[in-house]
Amino acid sequence: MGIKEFIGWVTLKDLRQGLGVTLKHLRRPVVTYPYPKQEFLAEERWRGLHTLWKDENTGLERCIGCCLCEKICPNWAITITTSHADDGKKVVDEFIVNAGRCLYCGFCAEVCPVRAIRQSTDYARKVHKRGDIILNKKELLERGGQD
Amino acid sequence: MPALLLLAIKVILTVTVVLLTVAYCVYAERKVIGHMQQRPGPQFVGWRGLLQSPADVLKLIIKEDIVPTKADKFIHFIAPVLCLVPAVLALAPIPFNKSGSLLIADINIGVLYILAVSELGIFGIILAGWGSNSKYSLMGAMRSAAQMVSYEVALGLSLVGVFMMSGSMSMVEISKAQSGSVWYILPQFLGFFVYCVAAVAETNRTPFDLPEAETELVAGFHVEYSGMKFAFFFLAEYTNMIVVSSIAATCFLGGASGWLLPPLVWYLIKVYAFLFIFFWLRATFPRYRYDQLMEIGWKFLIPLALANVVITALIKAYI
Repeated sequence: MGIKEFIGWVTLKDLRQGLGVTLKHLRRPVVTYPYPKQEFLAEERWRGLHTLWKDENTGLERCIGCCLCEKICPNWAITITTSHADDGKKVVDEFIVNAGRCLYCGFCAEVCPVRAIRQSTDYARKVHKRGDIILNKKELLERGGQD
Repeated sequence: MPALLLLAIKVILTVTVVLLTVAYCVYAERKVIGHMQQRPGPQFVGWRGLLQSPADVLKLIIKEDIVPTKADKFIHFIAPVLCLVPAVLALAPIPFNKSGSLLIADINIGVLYILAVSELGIFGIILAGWGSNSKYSLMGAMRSAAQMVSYEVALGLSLVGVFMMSGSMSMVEISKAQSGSVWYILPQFLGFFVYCVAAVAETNRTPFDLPEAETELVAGFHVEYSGMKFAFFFLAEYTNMIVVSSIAATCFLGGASGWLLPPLVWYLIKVYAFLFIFFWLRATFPRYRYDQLMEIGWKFLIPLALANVVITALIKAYI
């Protein structure tokens, strides 16, 4: 132990430093806020509730029914039913997101090749009935937009 | 008879004021610690949460009083009372102002009386741990007893230097002795340091809150208590904090002396500053391990306090 360390030990340097840190924080502004009273504005990159998007030019759904999001979802929160139309094209009949199961990892939005499923900044899914937490295709499309 | 009446008024006044202070100590503590962690603390009940303490008191009064089936009913009942009564008794010789008009009893061994009486609170804690028949409680009570017994030595020894310098054990005499000369915090800085550490340990506060270590013992000796009985322990802890702060203010910070402001205000400022240090320490430090606690007490504080006594004696004798 050098002379400097010894002086620091005798004068309780580490304890003084700790007290200094807390005293410094005492003067700093409060970073929390009363949530239900003050609305929390999520960042643009927030991974919130899902949305389905439409194409800007044609107005058709972007989803091509590849079911990659269904496959990658770790909690099996997404269920997609597809069928073939008369002209042989794949049609997405139903697109169900069980928001109660979702852990908001964002894999579905990341894996989507056509950017059909995206996550919004909606962080508070509040429903009165348990069944309402499951979103179907219509609701998802309403929540999304066109681009 | 008027003297007795006056005394009764003084007692009621002191106890009421102290218990109110205790209630708002809890609020102040939550606010201070909150702001040290950059959050606002209580803020919903009343303006800026100022009614939080009355709300808590109401809640504790209304709460169901649970007694464990295997507990010793009588001891379980008597323990909180035994904890609170000594803490309140210790308020008697504290001089809140210079003239002593607010003093309940001017005992010529005031500090000794406070130390002796507040030490009786250990019985309450031990009986609480023993009577509730729970291993967590017993563990907490044992720790508390060991801690308070070892730190009481350092606490008493740290004040011996003050007694030597003032030549008295009376709280009034000690504060009078300082009004002429410097406050004893300067010549007795070693004693003050030892006193501060020992006082924190005495009142079972962080970083020496092993008797009620939440993470290890749930709540220590008052695990099995609820409602008003729990509130008694709570009151006792905070009253003890006020008592040790008052001793510090009297013995080291010159009692009620000060400039411009009236003596009572000065005294309260000193006591509250000391209480703030308690909150500050709680916001900063983690808990010590049990062996570290004992090591600090026996190997570090007691030798320091003894050295302080010897140095003070030598200076007093030869200079």
